[in-house]
Amino acid sequence: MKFEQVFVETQVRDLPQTVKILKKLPEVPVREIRKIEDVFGRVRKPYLHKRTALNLYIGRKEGHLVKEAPDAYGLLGEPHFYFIHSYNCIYECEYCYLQGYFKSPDLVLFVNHEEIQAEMAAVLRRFPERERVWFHAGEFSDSLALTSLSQEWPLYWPFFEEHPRAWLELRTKAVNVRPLLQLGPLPNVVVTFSLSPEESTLALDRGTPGLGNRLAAMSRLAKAGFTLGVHYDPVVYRDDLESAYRELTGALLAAVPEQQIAYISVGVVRFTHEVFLEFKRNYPESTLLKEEMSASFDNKIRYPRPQRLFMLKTIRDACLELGVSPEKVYLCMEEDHPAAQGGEVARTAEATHR
Amino acid sequence: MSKLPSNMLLCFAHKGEARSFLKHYPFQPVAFPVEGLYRCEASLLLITGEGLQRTSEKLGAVLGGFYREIREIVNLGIAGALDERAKPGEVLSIRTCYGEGQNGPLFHSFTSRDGHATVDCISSVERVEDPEAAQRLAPFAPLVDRELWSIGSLAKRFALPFRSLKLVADRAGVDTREVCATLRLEDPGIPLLQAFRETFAGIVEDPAPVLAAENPLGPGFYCTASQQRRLESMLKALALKGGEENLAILKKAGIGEIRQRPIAPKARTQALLENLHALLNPFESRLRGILEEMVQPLAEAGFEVRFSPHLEQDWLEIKALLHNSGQTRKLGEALQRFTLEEIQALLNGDPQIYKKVDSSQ
Ligand code: SF4
Repeated sequence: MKFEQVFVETQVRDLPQTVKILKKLPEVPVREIRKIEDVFGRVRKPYLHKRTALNLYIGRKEGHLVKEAPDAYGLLGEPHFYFIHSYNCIYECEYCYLQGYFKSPDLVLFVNHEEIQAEMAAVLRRFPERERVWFHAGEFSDSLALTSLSQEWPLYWPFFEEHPRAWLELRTKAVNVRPLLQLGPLPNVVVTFSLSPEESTLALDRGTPGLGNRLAAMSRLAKAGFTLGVHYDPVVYRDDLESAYRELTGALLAAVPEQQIAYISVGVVRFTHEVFLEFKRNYPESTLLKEEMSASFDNKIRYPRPQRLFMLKTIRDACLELGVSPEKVYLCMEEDHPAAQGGEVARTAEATHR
Repeated sequence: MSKLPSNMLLCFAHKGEARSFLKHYPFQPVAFPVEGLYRCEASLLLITGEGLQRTSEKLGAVLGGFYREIREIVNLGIAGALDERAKPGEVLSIRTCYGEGQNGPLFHSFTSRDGHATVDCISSVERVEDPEAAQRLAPFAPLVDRELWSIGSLAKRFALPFRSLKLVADRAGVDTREVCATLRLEDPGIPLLQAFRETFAGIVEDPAPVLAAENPLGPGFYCTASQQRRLESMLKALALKGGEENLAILKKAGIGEIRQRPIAPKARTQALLENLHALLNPFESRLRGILEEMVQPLAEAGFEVRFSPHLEQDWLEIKALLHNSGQTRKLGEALQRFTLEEIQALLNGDPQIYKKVDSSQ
């Protein structure tokens, strides 16, 4: 990864975290700016410029640092929040919703982690009776892809050690697990990986590590005692869906013992209208464009409902047949239709993008 | 003299920048309310004048009058370097242009058709005459000019592709004044002309559209504009899916048989579009086929059955006009012969029912 320029907010220029990041980029010209918003997103920077002209912004996140996740996000009945410590991603998954989100593909790292943690602590205080309150990282980025540069997780580990009721979910496609191995596992940290069959990974997850490497990274974490999670998301239809996901789950269970898998969530590919337009513009030859998707009841682009439910349930059945406990498999539903839920946990479409 | 690519509109801010082009190609002035328009065979050349406003006015008028004969807009001119990423003396092809208005950066940006270009340019609202102004713009692009954003904006409005070749004349805000004086003496058009000729030497003109614009399906069919759009997008998706040529796809969709049907040409197109949709959506068409079979007893008894739009819910509506008790009996018999549970299991994606249907076929 090569940055064209680094923009640093004057207010964070001398913070130790900023200095640490800049030390890793000795060759890149640095420009000081007043606020990230003065430059980032002020003009519409085409998404694919990330391939050749990626900039990095370092600043302080203001406003809400921890946000409540949409209804029914994640495991049922537990409060879910996400915190924002970065924007955008170095990878280029063709279906990524970030391509329609920020009006710029440039990377943003926020360095006011202490403030983020203070807000997390405040959230915990709001739920004194709850055994678990979830904090998801990487709603707007990959949680691990940039970690060698951003170096933030050592700052969060003490917080989660001190607050066992706070649960952290990291979500990634990266295999850069050394920083986590150095920190060691915590009972309330779940490292989740997005997985799909090898051909889908090759066709759609541009620039990401291949399936074999992701499984190997998961295996290393499992051996070190980490709890892992899996996102089969987004699932793309294929005639051999059942056997493909049976094979994938088999490979997963060979890499990670079932007891160390906290959950497998399954979600079918979908786009908002704006992201779909941007996706078509960016990847006009994408294999996803031959899919049976069309504007649905809410104008989102997705498979017809019977098909997406068929896909979710076929994959769930494949997981169960291979010995995954039923309570660990949950399906990401876009609707709260009782017949569709069948006892599973619903999760909103917007909540998941990888 | 090399040949000028056809159906181009070349845009320059100043006549000085266009001098070499006017000399090299036999351009003749065009009598048009907008001053500074020239023609050479099927191509045009316009001197827009400096600044976003002037460029918008003149280019807008020319595009309004001539856009049918223009295939591409090419902007040529000088630009200033905002930092070390651009070196004075280079000619650079522009990737994306940004703009600056009276109140700061303009949100919209426009990307040229040169997929290999890697340099961006921002069009400033005023001349950049001091380092502070250059610093204000440098975060957005390494080059500054005064026109390109208007050209990109109008190109988009008229659905025309554009390119831009910029000669880096100076370090904007540092040595602007001296360079302007130099440019009066030297001819910036020479390196621009050379870059223009190199750019277009290897370019093949756009291939023919996917389908003939008029009556794309040939005799026996009539396509409305929206049908044609659907046809093109489905053919493209099917080509991606199966790697087949249009002709093979249309044959698979039964174009020959549909052509013989004794129905109106527009209805034939509709039938063909439905077959293409089925080819593109095998899961959905298979499902609809199964559902149709399942409600067959009701249809045979003369009742109308409707599913939810997009099959997004698991109900079905049965409509019947009852005139006599015979029909009531028929309805009762038909209702007994079909099972709502199975239909709902299908609509709720139950894999077991799909397996059962598969094995019974
Ligand atoms: S889907 Fe995730 S990993 Fe892929 S580009 Fe988007 S944020 Fe990055």
